[in-house]
Amino acid sequence: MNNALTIEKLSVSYDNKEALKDISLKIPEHRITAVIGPSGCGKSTFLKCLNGQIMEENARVSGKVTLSGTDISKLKPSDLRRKVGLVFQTPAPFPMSIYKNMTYAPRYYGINDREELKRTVTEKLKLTGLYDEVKDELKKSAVKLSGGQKQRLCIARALTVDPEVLLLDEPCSALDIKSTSVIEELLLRLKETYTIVIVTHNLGQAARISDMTAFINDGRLVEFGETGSIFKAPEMEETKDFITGSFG
Amino acid sequence: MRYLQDRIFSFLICAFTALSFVSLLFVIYFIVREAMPLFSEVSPGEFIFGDRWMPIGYTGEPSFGIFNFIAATAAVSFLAIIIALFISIGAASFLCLCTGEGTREGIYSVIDLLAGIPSVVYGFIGIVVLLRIFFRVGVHTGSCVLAASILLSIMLLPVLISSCCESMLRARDEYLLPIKALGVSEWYGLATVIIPASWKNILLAVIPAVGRAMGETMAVMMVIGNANLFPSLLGKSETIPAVIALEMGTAVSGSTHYHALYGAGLVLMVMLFVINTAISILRRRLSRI
Repeated sequence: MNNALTIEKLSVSYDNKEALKDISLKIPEHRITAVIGPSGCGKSTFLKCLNGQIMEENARVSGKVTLSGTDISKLKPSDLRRKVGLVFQTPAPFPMSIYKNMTYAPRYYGINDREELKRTVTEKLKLTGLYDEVKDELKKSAVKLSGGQKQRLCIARALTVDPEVLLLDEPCSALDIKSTSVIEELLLRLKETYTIVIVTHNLGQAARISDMTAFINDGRLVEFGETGSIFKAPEMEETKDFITGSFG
Repeated sequence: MRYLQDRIFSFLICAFTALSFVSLLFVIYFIVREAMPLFSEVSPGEFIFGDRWMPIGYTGEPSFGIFNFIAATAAVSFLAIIIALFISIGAASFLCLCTGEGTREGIYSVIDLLAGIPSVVYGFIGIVVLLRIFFRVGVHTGSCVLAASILLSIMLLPVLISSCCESMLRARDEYLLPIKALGVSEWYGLATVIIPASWKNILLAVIPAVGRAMGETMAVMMVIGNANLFPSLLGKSETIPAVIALEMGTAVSGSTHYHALYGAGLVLMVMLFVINTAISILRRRLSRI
């Protein structure tokens, strides 16, 4: 199987405090990789490294991340982010109509053909299962959608630039159980087309949807492997303690 | 004991609220009462739409038309707010995207100093700086509506910049990361998402600014030339507060002139009320989007 992202010896420190230490792992294509770990362990920092956001913060980064063979530090930030999309914990649809939210990025990249834009909007909304719910009110303000719908819109918006990898930073932590399960189903559908990396504090969620799981603790990659084996038979004592709820 | 304290405290709060409300009512009542006698001599239509202001009949009949003053007040305030809004949004954009918190606080405190300068000093600067420039480019005596608007816009800056910046910072914190996550540049995001998302709150700041602009007397009076003319950018004119300030001292108490000045004050108050209501409606429209 091909790897979408290869991370080699990645270390990050803020003000001489190490946030990530020497992380190396390979994220396979068309799979969901879950990143788990206690709060403050560096999960979100890890995601920021993958879309280059870390470069804009006051952090020292060493190591190498390659995206299908290209070193991401050689890519322009805008090119990298077209290839690696990021969805945040709190859904933040722009205060404009659903349609405009969906055409925002494509227009920025110079697509002005109405038919093409319409096609993109329909396709991505269908992909996220939002199309049937909003097809008659695409002009409605996106701010008026429900929490779960907003998050799905944000996922759809991230897909409008056709990324290869989709990163999600605790996408369900602000949502109720029903919206969460809708999003989980959606992610399972999306992995056919995209490589997905999801940071989650919900172990059940990681076990339900991910193929691979990485356990990060205190900035170190403790264990990485198939989700089934990590949850059923972790090799490390630390992982076992975390999964059984002894800490974190 | 505690109960008694609470009761006294809540009574005091209610009393102070009532006091401010009652004093507003008294101001309105007083202005209306003093203005009313005018309308038994001059019809409201003639007063508002007439353009001849001749309170004492040296040459011909006295006449009380304040249309030019109304137009000048509206024009100067409108222009000043537009100029100040442009500068404020520019400054706020800079403060939002280009500075860290420390620098921003430093710049804020410098901008706040502007608010502490008395308006007569602004007027003085207007005369020695602005009017000279206008005079040099060929405006007769330099006094004009545009000079007054520019001066007034500078006076409005402190309030507008800080409130623009505050609402834009809030929008920035909410939207900048998602914008950048799409690979979109922050300046494009600022223009297309952050500033539009802040409009509602910026308009909220415009309401007191309009009050300040329409009521500003001294600085405007010192540079606008004070002539009863319909306002044009490079021509002289006179605002309602300027008329009142210049003539109240010489108007015989109880004369028609005296009542007409109160009438002008009443018109100014109504204008403010109408404009503030219009802005509130616009805000509500915006928040419905």
